[in-house]
Amino acid sequence: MSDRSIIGALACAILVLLPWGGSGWCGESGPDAAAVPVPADSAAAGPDSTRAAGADSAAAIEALPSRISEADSASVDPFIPVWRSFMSADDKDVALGSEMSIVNLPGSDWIMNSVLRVEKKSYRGRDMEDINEQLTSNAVKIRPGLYRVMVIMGENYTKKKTLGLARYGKDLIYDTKSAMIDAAYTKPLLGASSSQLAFRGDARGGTQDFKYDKTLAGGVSSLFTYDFGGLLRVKAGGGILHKHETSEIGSIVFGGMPSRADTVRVGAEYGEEDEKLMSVSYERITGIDRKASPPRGNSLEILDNPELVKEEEARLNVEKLEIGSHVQPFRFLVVDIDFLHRLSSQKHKVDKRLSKETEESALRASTNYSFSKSGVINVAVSTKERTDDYGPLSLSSFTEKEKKVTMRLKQDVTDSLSVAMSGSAWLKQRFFKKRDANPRDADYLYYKIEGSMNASLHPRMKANIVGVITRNETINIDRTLSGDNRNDFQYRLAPKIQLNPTSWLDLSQEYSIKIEYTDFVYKENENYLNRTTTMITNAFIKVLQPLLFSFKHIYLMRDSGSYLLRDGMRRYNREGENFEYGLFLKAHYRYSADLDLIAEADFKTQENNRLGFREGEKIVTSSTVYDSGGLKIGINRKHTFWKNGKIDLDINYVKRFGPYLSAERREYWIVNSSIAYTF
Amino acid sequence: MRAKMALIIVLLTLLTAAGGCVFEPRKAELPDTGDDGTWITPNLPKDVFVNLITGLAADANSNYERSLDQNFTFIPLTEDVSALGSEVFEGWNKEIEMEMLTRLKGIFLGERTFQFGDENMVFEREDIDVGYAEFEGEYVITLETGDGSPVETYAGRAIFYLEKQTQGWMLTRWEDIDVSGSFPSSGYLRGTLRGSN
Repeated sequence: MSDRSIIGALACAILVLLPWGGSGWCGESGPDAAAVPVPADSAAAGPDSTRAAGADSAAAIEALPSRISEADSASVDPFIPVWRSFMSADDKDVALGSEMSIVNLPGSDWIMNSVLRVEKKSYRGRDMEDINEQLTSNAVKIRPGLYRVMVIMGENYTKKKTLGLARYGKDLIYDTKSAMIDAAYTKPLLGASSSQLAFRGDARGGTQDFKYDKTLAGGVSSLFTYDFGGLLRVKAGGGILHKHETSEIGSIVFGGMPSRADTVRVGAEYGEEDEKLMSVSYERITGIDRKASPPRGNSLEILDNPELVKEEEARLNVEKLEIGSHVQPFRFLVVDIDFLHRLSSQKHKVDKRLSKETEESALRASTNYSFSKSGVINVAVSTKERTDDYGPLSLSSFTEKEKKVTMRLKQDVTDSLSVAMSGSAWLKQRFFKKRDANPRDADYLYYKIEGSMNASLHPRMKANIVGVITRNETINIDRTLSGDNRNDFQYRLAPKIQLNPTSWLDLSQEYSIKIEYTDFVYKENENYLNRTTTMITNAFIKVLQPLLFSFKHIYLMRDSGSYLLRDGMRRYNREGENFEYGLFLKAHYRYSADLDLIAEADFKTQENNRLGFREGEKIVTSSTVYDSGGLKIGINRKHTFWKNGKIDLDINYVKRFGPYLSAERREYWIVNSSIAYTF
Repeated sequence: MRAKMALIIVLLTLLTAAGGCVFEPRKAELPDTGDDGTWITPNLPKDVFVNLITGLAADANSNYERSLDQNFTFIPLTEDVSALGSEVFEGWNKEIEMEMLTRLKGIFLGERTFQFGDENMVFEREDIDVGYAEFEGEYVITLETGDGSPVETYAGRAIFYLEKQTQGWMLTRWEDIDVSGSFPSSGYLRGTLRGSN
């Protein structure tokens, strides 16, 4: 091992050990205060450590510098410290931070990575700031086909400091020290084509908002896959996880709260790898999760009244069965059928409003029919039924039934012309179990028809047109709510044309005409209709090789009003109209390969008119005009220095105007810059 | 031959859909004269809050539903995510918000009130641009079960993002940013009503 590797290993060890040497490097000590508690996710640790560990390993490897992950590790430097400082700012917040990472390859296929990161964010216009300090060290060793070992240790400290009255000056603090080991034996066992036996141990502790938690968790899992003749594959696996958590809230201690979760998964597939003719899978998860919880929501009151904390117990039970088939009886016909049945229940001891039982069944069948070389039609039918039960005392339990039919057709008429059509109908019905006390039974019926055409009229000219019609019907069954029953109609037609007359000019223009109409079944005096016409023009001009210029203009005209029955006829009574113009200009000048200058300007104006009658004539009774816009000037500079240093500057100055803009939004900087050096 | 078959399938599907006979919904009862809350055409950004207030108070959901943009989303506080789990808030959209509202109205059968900003609906920050607006300030929700139980109060600070769509102004995002006193936030209310499984 080289000297640099030894130094790297020592540095990693120091970084890892620091947080365990007393109160931790973040400065917040542990369990003293009334301040407190448990990792938010401590209860969420899943029972299937195989999957979780796999994801963590991938994340750890992805975090490595590219020169490690992309290159042959034998030819790269075994010890790579990288320092990076960064800043970001916009109209909402300003953040400053610094990060030091060390990648170390001590040999024997181990990859070690340590990251120390500090970031402070201040919110503009709000007396609030966030501080985040993070130290993570991980070591990974993977022997493909034999085993995998991963160790992660670290501390994550977050403080949200509010200076306002809302929190009475109290800070929100999360500080978690954690250590996790994950190991898996991946050499096939017991005649399986592939298998995995995994172990995971987890220890963590620290302040979690209103409490201080100490958690120990451990689990094992396995997964076996058997392959018979390349056509039949059978999978089986499972896992168990146990957790013990102690929470301290002031002088009150909730000790040794045990939690557990068990998983069983089995499945079988028949067919070629990509063409599974049949698949079946079953999964069952059971568990109990116990943790200290505030009585209702806001934890601030717990800081003064820790005796209000309760030990919550949530019992979880989930079963899921999935069956799928994929059949292609002819080259031009494919039929897919999928079935799902799912049962789940979650029962809470304290906050019973969170308790719920759900049963869900769904069946979907779809057919793809290629009626010609360039045409395909798809028809899908699905049905679903779900019951949500909130317990015997609740009025909210209901059963929901859904049925849906969808049809899609696509045909390439010629090489330059294609058309597509689709239509769908969907009925959703909700049946409440205690309809007399909670009369919210309702049906929802949706229809949608859409057509589009794409054409290349000329090598330098393309056209596209889309038309959509939708009808959404809301039907409340009970008389107390049926006054709200209505049909919402929408018609939209949107043609678009694109021109590319020369190599330096792209033009496009799109139009949209949209009519929205709501028809209340029993309250005709509330019927209303909106008509919107939009025209958008785009131009993209390459003035010179390094100078690009873009132009966008938007025109929008909308009127709205009632559409009521008068003398047996529906008459449209315009009540308001609205005009909008928007102009957006952008110039982009590439001074060199690593320096861009950008300038943008926009201007928008909006006129709103209320309409009425005077002496039998329609007039504008009131009118308001808003103007707004802004200017943005920026520079984007990428620069390398001393061979391994990198500066990335993206700095923009923004100035905006408008009638109702706060000072923070009138003038600000948008920054996203960093400086990094790889030692 | 195949093209003809495809055409027949398409025509049959379209005809069936156009005839409205693909699915047969239930028949509604004739309405009584209940007050469902007056709808205000949202020509101005703050009209949205008025419709949300009446939409929460009324038994019917239409005022609330028509005030939410199709891409509506809710961003909870870190504390609420910690307390209830991130899966409770995952993919929060208009459909989930409306399901939450329906369940809320099934639990709180008494008076339901909303307050946005101060008593006069004035927010601490109001940014209104052409077609886009942001309001930042307090909100208070009071809910009565109607059985004599104490009133439940939820409050906090939030940023409300609004956009002007073709049907007028709509709420596109509700982001809880802080608590208010010792009250649970709207995120806690939403999370407990959605449940997690």
